[in-house]
Amino acid sequence: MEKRKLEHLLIFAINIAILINGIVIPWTTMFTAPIAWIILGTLLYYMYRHEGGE
Amino acid sequence: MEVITPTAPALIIFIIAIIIMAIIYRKWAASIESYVVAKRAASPWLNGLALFSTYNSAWAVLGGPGVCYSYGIVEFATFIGWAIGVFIILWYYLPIIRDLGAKYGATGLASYMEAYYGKRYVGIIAGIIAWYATLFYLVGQIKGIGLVLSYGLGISYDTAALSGVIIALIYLTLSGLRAVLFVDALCTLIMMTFCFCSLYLLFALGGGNIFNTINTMYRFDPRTIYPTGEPYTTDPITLWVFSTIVYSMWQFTPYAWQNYLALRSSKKTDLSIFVTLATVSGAFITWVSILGPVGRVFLPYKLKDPDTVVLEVSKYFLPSLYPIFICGLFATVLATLDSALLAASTDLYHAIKGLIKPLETRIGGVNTLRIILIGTSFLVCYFAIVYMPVYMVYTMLIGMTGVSAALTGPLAVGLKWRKDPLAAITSLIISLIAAQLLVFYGITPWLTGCFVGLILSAIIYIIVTLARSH
Repeated sequence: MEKRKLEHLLIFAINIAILINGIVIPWTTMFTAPIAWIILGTLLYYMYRHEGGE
Repeated sequence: MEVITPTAPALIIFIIAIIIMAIIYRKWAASIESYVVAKRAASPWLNGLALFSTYNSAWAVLGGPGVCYSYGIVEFATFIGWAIGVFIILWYYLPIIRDLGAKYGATGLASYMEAYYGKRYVGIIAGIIAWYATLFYLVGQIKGIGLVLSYGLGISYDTAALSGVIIALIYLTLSGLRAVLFVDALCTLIMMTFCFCSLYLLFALGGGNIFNTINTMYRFDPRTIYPTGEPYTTDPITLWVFSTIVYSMWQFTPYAWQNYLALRSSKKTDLSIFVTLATVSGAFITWVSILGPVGRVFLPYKLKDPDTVVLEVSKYFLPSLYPIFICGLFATVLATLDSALLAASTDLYHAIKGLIKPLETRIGGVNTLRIILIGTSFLVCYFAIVYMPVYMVYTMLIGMTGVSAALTGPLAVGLKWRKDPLAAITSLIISLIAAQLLVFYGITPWLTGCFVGLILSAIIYIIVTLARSH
């Protein structure tokens, strides 16, 4: 359950941060967004790597 | 053979590689299940890489930079907003779509909706709408492929458009989705090379420092770097927020359903690989779209057709890398064209299954689908050549963003809440008509029109479901 909450939190926090970044300084998202998504994807992968799926 | 331009050898090698792949995977056309959804066994790496370039269309690499040429980096909002949608929507919906799709034996959007809602009429209407909307979208893709090949090979637009369709048809008819996945993954690698070349150009123009390039553009006109929201809305915050919401629903558009249904499992490890690959593509494409304002600021001449800005910028500033740009543009558009053609044909095939039963028993399902595929391709090609769209936005964004907004009720709400076939169809049809009318008659900018369609679709679905349950 805790892991699930962390998953939702990570996904929404990172994506909303990218959105705010876009509103404030649009052109920087060309670098910040891919880095943020790769970090997010990697974190999610390692959170569930020992599980068979849900 | 006469080499028409220096780009020709690169393109010819690429096309030969595509044909070899089609021949290698021709045995995958044995049954509809294998032909259309590649036996639902695609690895997340292959499928994610394929979706990377499939999601990026002629709009991303030609139309989007064209808009950026005129209005600044306004398209950053739609690309980044859309990629946020890719992550969130796919993360939460893909397990349902993939697992139920495998349970129902679904081959595309229409057959999935029919199985999910349990009514034949849902499949027929969804299939026809998906086919119709994808036709609009395909016309834009063929304009894109026609422009790129005519620039790259020095041939006429008509011949180039027809050649692009024929190349896609070779591997589509021969091997179906399995070849599409490999060709699209190859397209992604070529597309990424081209995106890195765009980034290199951005650094090179500022003498190795990107801040110099950005400052030059800012001094030329601050709106190139801080767009006002035009032509979509009137302020940047609305632009970013609306883009994110409207483009989130883009993930339900028919042309990516084969990729979703073909994924080998819905495990979170597979999901994280697949979703991350598909999402990052949205940011890569901003590297290309910034070439729009670069063209306006740095090119010494004005362009007649803003959609050609990437071609003109690469030809002018990086003539030695021009073949990479041409191949990258061709690969990006081709990857979308093949998936959209396959999706449109599969949805139409499902919708008219009853009518074509005699033909199917005579020549088999795969061959019937091949005939529909060829018919759809040439129909779209005819429209793209005879009625070449001046602005891609009308054919691509309205056709697909409109339909993706209308799918909010039946899919975004319906998959997580209650099932109601009548509510699904009512919300789909009414919101689609409303969004198209609002945009075509200029009552609202297209982003607002699609946003209204999206909200309408969700509200109608909820109201009809509640009314019927009482």
